[in-house]
Amino acid sequence: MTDEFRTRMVELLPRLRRFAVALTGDLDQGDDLVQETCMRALSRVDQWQPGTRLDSWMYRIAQNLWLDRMRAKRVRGVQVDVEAADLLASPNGRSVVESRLTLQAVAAAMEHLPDEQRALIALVCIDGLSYKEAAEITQTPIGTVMSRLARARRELHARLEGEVRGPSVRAQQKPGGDA
Amino acid sequence: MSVIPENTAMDAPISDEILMAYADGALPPAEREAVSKALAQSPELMQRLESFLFTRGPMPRVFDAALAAPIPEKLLAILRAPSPPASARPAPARGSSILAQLAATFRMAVFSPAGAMATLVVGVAAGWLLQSGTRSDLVRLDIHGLTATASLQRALETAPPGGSVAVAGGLSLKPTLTFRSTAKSWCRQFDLVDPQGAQATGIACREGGVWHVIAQTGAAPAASSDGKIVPADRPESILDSLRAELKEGDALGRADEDALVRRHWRDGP
Repeated sequence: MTDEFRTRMVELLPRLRRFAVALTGDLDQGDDLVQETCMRALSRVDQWQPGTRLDSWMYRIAQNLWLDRMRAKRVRGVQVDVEAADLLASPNGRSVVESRLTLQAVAAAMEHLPDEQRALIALVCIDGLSYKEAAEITQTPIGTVMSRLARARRELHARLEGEVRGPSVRAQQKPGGDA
Repeated sequence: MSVIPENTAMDAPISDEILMAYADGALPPAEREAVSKALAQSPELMQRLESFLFTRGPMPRVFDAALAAPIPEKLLAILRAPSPPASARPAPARGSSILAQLAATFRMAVFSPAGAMATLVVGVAAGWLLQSGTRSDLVRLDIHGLTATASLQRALETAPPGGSVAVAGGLSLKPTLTFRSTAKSWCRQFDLVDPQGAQATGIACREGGVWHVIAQTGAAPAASSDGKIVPADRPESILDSLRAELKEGDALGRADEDALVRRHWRDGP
């Protein structure tokens, strides 16, 4: 069982790395998270139920490790790196979407989202999981998943493109409570 | 399972959630058809749809580089390692000391009977905490590891979530995360800040009513003259890994942490 488990984890690594990069914002930190996730998963093989999805299980481990990290960092009061956000400034007026849609730019925009929304973006938009799967991994009702995700996506789009169009895009956003 | 509430009539304003599900291809055919028709008649709706198309199409592609990037050997090595049968693993029984557990987890030497030690984590800890007279007031190196001395004990024991408590030598301690270890001890991750603003961060666990510093890294360069101390080029990630190994379940929320401190670390009321 364990050898098969390891083999499947290796197969999952590319997707897990992409997921971790989406959460952490860069490849090195993403790989640290992947490493921790693998170690945690190996130490808890007995908690994984054969027949259930290994990817969901691993994503849940990764997500929880990351949420803890973020929480520790936030309590500590580490300032979010705002310089990265300056990458989005578009002095020559060219479209950010066309010219600057880089990992750094997207990661900087994602840093403004609440952690839960960032995780949903990574699960659904980047990894392509369904709302239902994301709801199971985050242990959140599907309605909440959808409203958070919709809000996060409006926000990201406004941030990444709004620099070009000006503040009117953001002003169009509906205020509103979470579901 | 439909993602649309049953009572949503399609002539009602189309919500962002429905537009999003449309962009994601998650709508059943009939609903999909209805949204398509509405989109054809409404530039405003089309504009709202753009956010969801963008965040599903062009935006996620920037992360695809991670799919293709060569997988670092260190990751493969973790997964390739031979897996001893669970029974043969050196994992200590629950309730055994944190240090023994750490040693088993990281396959590191821990204290010999003579008290000599050569562990990465404690090495890092010793480097920062023992490098000056002031800081050595905080910990005592004994058979149990680095036992926090009185002022650090008090700070770990009493600091409320988000609070900050003065310890020796002008340092102050701020707890950042409190969690239960797999050995059923309470552990706290904390920051120590000195008057010059240099910051160290560490993890201590409470066993038998005594706090033991099990890992500590610092902004201050570790004393490495004896060559035994492994330079912590990414001290945070060392602590992150340690915490990941130690922690069982979720970290405490603020209210629970506060209550626990007030109960003097006794289990639930």
